Amino acid sequence: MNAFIQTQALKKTYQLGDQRVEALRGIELTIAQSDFVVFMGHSGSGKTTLISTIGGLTRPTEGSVSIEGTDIWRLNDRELSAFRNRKIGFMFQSFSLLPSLNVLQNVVMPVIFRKNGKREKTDAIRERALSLLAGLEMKKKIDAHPSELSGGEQRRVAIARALINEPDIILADEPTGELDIRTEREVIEIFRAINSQYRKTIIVVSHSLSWLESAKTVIIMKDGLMHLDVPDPVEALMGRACRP
Amino acid sequence: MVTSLFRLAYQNLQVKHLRFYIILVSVSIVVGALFASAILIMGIHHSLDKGLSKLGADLLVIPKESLVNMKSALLTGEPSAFYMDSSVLAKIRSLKGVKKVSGQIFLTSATGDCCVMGNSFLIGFNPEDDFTVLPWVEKSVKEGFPADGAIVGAMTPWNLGDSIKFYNVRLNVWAKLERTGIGLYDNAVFFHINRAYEMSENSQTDPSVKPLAHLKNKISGGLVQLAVGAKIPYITFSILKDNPTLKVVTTGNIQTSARQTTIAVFFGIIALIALLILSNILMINAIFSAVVNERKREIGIIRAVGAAKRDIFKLILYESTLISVISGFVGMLVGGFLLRLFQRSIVFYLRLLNIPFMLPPYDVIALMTLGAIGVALLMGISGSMYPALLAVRIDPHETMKQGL
Repeated sequence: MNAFIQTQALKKTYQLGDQRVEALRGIELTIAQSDFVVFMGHSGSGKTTLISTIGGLTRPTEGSVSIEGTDIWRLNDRELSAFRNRKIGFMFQSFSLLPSLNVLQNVVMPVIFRKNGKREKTDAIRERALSLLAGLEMKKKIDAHPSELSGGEQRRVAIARALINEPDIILADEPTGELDIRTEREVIEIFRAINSQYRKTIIVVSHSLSWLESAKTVIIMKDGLMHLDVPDPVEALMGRACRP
Repeated sequence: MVTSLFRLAYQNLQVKHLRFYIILVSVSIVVGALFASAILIMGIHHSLDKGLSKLGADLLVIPKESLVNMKSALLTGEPSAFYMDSSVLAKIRSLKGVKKVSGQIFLTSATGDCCVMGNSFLIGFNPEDDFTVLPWVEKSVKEGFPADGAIVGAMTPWNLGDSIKFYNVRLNVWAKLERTGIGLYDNAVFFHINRAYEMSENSQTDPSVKPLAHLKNKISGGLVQLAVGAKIPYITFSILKDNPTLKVVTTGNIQTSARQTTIAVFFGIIALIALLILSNILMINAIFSAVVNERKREIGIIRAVGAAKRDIFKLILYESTLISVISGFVGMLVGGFLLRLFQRSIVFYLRLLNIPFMLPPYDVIALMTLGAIGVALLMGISGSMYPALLAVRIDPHETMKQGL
């Protein structure tokens, strides 16, 4: 497989009081460009820690994360932030929008932190944001603030924000958490479209089984270890044995 | 559209209204008090500078006994009752390093005299050797000072062309000085020294007034202008060697003395303002620490979308800078407004303390405006520095994991 994202011996250990928690225990992962990967697992299995480490948000205790050949944890804070801004679009659980900004402002917010390249004209940024919002059926609500939006609408805005800098990778942590089934399906469809139409690499962390049919790769996380090629993810999530 | 960190900071301020207003009110009170006090202090110093520089003299030679009164007279316009012989001037004029010497005679206030309203400081000067009074009046070069002319201070009630009378000597108001803030000039009536001698003689025979001293060939003091490079201590020594009954006062000494008085008066205010600045810094620190704590998740999101640690630091500082600058402007407006509102009573109380006052020039006010904004900025930036460092340390992963 052509390695677009690669982790090697990735470990992350937390110290909680006297207790030492191993959130990641030597993850070896390779993800190809345009893949659609879903990490599933119980709470505390290490899913969020893994995508935070891949996304350059939390430094691993050991090991490396390489994206397009760049060992991201060798970059300094400025370089890593610029890399994240350019290459990765994030989407988090609920309340991931800034309450002081309206929909349009939330979408263009990542543009503020662009470090390299020519400064794009405000009109062009606005046009792109509007185009994204139109594609997500949110154009009518560009002046609304997050508190005026439903959960599903907030996710759409967060998706538009994740796409505004045209990143290669979308990292999403529980993007459909707390949504009803219908809205959840809509959000999943949007992700599927982003993956198929824009060829973005998508990595999703979720508890929801609804993602299974959309993902090209499903990885089960358990106790800081990942389990690939699980024949029946549902069985595995129910607690049956799975192969590391 | 929010496409810069600064705009984002501005947008953030619009959310926490109450905190914003608390900082705004608190900082603007301090800035207003500071601005108003600075205007007062600078106004007093400016009055001294402007008034005493107009004197045009480097030294005042006066009778030894009149020293205390002389300082008082210069600042408040109260006359000196001590005199010396005018022949002293010739001796001083002959000294090496002395450029000009001019005698002046101060008469007792003419309150209650016939046809005179209010207190006036009567000063006789000699137009032939004068270099301190006539230079203020532009037309003196063309017309020459008339024998019965009078130059009146800005605070006197008379206008050009008015006829006034002191001790039965009639004078015509020939010029009116602009305001200086120094009592001596603002309340004075300047006229030919020979008219002063006439007044002295008239007072001896007029039963309706308290007689003046016999002043023929007397002066209250001599104003001395030195040549370039002349040494003040040397000239002072030479004057006193010839006549030990005199006292030599430098105009700088008078200014220093008055300044010390004003600084003492305002020391308490400045100390209080310093304490207020410190307490404001602590308050801003507390408020911004709370804001950062509440916004952990927001900061985590901003970091995730590409903000570097220094961007977060700048964001918090921009927010505090914006609040500070706005508060600074509001405070200055409030300070200026209060100063204007209470100008009359402030000037009145300052006069009771024998302190002259007039507004400093516009360029000085502009500088003080910048200074006041600077102090507001100092408070804002100092107060938010630690919270900004706290914000930088926020781990975006932790905030998201904990749902903060």
